[in-house]
Amino acid sequence: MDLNPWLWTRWRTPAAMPATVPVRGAFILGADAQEGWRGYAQALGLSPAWFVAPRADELLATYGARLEQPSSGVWHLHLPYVYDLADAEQGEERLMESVLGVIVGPQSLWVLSPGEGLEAVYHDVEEMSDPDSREQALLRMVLVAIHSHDMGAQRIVQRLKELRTALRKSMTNRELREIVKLNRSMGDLVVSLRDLGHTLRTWLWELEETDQLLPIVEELQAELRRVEDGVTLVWERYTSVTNCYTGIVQNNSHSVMKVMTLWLALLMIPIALIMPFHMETHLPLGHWHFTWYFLLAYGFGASLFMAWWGRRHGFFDI
Amino acid sequence: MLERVLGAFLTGNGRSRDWLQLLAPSDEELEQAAASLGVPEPFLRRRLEDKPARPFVREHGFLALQFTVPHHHAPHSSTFDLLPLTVILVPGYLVTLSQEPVRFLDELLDPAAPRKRWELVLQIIHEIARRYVRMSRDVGQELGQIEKELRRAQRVNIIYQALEVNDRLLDLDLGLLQLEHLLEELRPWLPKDSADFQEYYEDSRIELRQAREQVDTEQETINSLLNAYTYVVNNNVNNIFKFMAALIILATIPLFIPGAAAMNVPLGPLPDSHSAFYLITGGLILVEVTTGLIFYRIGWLRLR
Repeated sequence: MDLNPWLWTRWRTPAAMPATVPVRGAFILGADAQEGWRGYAQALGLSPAWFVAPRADELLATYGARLEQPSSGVWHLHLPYVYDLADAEQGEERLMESVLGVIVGPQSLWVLSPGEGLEAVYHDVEEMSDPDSREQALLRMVLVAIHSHDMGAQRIVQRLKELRTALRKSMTNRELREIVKLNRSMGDLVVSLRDLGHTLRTWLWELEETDQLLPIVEELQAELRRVEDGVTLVWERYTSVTNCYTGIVQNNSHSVMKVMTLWLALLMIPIALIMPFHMETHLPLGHWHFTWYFLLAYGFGASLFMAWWGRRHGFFDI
Repeated sequence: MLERVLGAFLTGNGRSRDWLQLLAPSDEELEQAAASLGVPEPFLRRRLEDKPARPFVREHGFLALQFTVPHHHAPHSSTFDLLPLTVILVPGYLVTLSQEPVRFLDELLDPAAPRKRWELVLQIIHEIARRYVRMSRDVGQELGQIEKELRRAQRVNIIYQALEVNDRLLDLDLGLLQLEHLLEELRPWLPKDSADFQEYYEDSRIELRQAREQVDTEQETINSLLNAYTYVVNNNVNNIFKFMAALIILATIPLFIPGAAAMNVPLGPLPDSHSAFYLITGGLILVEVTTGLIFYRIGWLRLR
């Protein structure tokens, strides 16, 4: 599902999964190429060979349920997740959107992330004060998904600022086209966050009042609200100034046209002033030895005077 | 720097506790602090990074509050940095962690007049909120200056200045939003038995709301004005266009009036007439002056 060309979307595929499995405390992070996949498939109630089937990508793309409870005390969550992907071929970093798979069992937690997006997951795991706490691990993993949107918004804002600087000299629509794409990507992030919020709200309704996951989901919701408010604010503020960028490009073109018109006027002035002396009549000063020099000085002097006056009024500014 | 200030605040029971100030700490200092406080070192390290983090963290044995404190680049300047400041409450200590010194902390955590823990936290929030209000007022004043310059502006520099103001207001708005959410999350933790605390909490909340409304209004205004600003700048440039085009028209008139008398064909009585030059040039000047007056009357020769 390619949402737009800037925010690249990649759903879970076996190829995107990590090759190694760090096991920490009561939960497993990632999955190895074969065994982990089997375990994950088993937990999802799928056949062990499901993930390595040729049509797995297609199936995964249609596997759209965000929250499922296959049995009592077991929850499957598929949360939108944004991460940086270094593209070695293109020599650039891309913002990718994928899904963070979380399986919550009564005593365990499974988290599956695309291989390239694991860094942030590891980073958060390292911070845990109690590595054996399932609740703390769950909190941190869902927070990774929530904060990844914040990080994505910051990346987009950073690029928008670069493009805005480039607009200063631009007279084409190249930068504007990218700005429009970025605005769309930012909008997609907001939608994705709301989607995440919807999943958490549904989960909150489904949980029993005595469930020990309840305070965790409530805490997650509070943080999600904060991040969603922030990203929405950034999106609103940046999209509302897009017309201003159009004006900047127009102004760049106008400034160049202004200076070209000024040069045209400056060239026209000597022609206009000298023109009466082209007439086939008796001319005043016709026999004066310095008439030619005088007329040239008069015509171009007037033009220079005009240029000096125009410069003072910013006519030459680009 | 790792500094310990003895008896800087009081617990709810009135017991004296110490303030541990971690200012741009080295790796060794972070390790030492993490070990003695029972807070994971990566957690402390992350608080110093400019990455998304929860403003309110409650974990086993500690409570951490993350603030962004606006700090002026220079006195009377409307540019500022947002400094991350983390306050960690652990049994026995109040820890502050930041990369830059936060000056008001020295006044609030004064061993000569120690405050109670939650009063202190609310005071910190109150002080930060006051700074936000002051910053937004300074940024608003800069906007007024931009509007003055806009009248004559032909270049987009002025738009870029306005966009920078817009960015700064957005930073303030996001900082205030974070503070507002933090205050909301703090509510269940405040002592319920003290009416003073509740009142102080409500005051801080109202002050924050007002500050956000002020920043929001400023930002909505500048957002809606930015498009108008661009048109004003474009219009200033277009006015010069108009003036130039009128000037070119005036400069074209002599091309055809004297040009008619400059053809290389028999011109009738003109070549022999001694007054032809004066008559034609006089007529030309008359046409020029009339056209110039008409252009001036209809505004084509006015620059603004």
